[in-house]
Amino acid sequence: MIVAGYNILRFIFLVLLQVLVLNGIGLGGYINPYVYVLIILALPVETPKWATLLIGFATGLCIDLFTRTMGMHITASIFLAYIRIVVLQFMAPREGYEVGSSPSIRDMSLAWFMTYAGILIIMHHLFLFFVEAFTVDQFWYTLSKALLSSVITFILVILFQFLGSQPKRSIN
Amino acid sequence: MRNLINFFIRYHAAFLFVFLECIGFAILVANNNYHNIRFLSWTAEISGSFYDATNNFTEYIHLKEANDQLAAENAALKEQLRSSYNSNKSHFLPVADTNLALQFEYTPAKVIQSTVNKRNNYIIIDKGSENGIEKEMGVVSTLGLVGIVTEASSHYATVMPVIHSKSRISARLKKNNFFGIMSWNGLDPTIAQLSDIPTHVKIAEGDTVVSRGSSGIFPEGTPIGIIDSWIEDPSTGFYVIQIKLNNNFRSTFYVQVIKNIQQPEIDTLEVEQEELP
Repeated sequence: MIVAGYNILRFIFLVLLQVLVLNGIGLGGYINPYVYVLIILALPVETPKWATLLIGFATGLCIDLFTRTMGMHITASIFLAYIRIVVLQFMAPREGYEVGSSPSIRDMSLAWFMTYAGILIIMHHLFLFFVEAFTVDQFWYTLSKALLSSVITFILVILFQFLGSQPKRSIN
Repeated sequence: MRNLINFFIRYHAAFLFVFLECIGFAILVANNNYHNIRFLSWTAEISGSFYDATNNFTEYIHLKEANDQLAAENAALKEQLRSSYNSNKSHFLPVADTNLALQFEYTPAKVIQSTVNKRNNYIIIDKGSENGIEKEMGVVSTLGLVGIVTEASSHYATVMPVIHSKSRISARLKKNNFFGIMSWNGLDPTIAQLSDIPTHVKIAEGDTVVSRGSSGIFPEGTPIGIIDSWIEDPSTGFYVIQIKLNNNFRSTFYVQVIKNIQQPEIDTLEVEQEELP
């Protein structure tokens, strides 16, 4: 229950942060970090697959409604939710995930989380920027834009991991 | 049957993913003009090549029919030719003086949201259909041309600025009236591209570019920008000119929406022109 409430709060906070603050920054008119990916990254490991996908849809929809880019973030977030399922399977510890753990630096390790977040953020950003461009005409331009934005998002996500106080995992 | 159900349960995530992505892309294509057009052009290409292939067959079958049609059309055209030698009896009639009739009305508006770093940027202004704003009205700032209204709700309107990949604005060089089409390549929000100016025209850095006023959306001579640099395209014989835009889209706050009172008249003429054989 506490975990669910915490995830809902994070959802609201990150959506607002994204649309009210980060979308307004637009570093150099070139880089736009999309920290809202953390909503999906930080979902508990046991979240059912279908629920992850639906949360991805809802997250994208919220961002799209605010930025008037209907569809771009929806498709990108669903994609992110799906590859999260795949990546979690591949990166599972030998003895499986602990009950009640979430993909975070606390519950896993710094190296594990950096790999996990790095892969997902880059995949999400590539998908998003190429859907925005909807063409491969300016391939290198779009690619560099996506990669640079990924780096900034990645740094911010790691930062949030250290800043955000998460509820102590209950021992059971 | 049992196996089939098991199969679906086992891979439910993949099926749900594909299903949701379909919805997502449907929303994307339905709501974004740019994506819609790219999508349509793809499908048009695919269906086009298909129709092309089938056409090659059916053409032969219908050749005789086509010949008859062409012959009939030729006959009709010849008749028109003869009749066109009739004397023209129309003459000028005195009409009310419209030399100084008001043509453009301006409505001030404030920009409440805008983007510059997207490929398809937009501007939202705080005036809508209740203030008389309609689709396809021009928007200018004190510095120069801003864009064209694409949507108007009751209190707000969306503007497609010059820095939008679909923006096409007829522009001319102020000093010698040669005109071309101005578009934007999606890279730098301070630079737009002017094409269709033939290479024999002498241009120089700093030459002023203004609107041509051809479609009646903007008054003729609305400032747009100055020539920054150019390259000659030897294959087409036209320049590709980089224009430094007068208007700074990062700091556009107050704009004016232009209503052309005579727009319906221009539109009717254009429609009639298109209907000519």
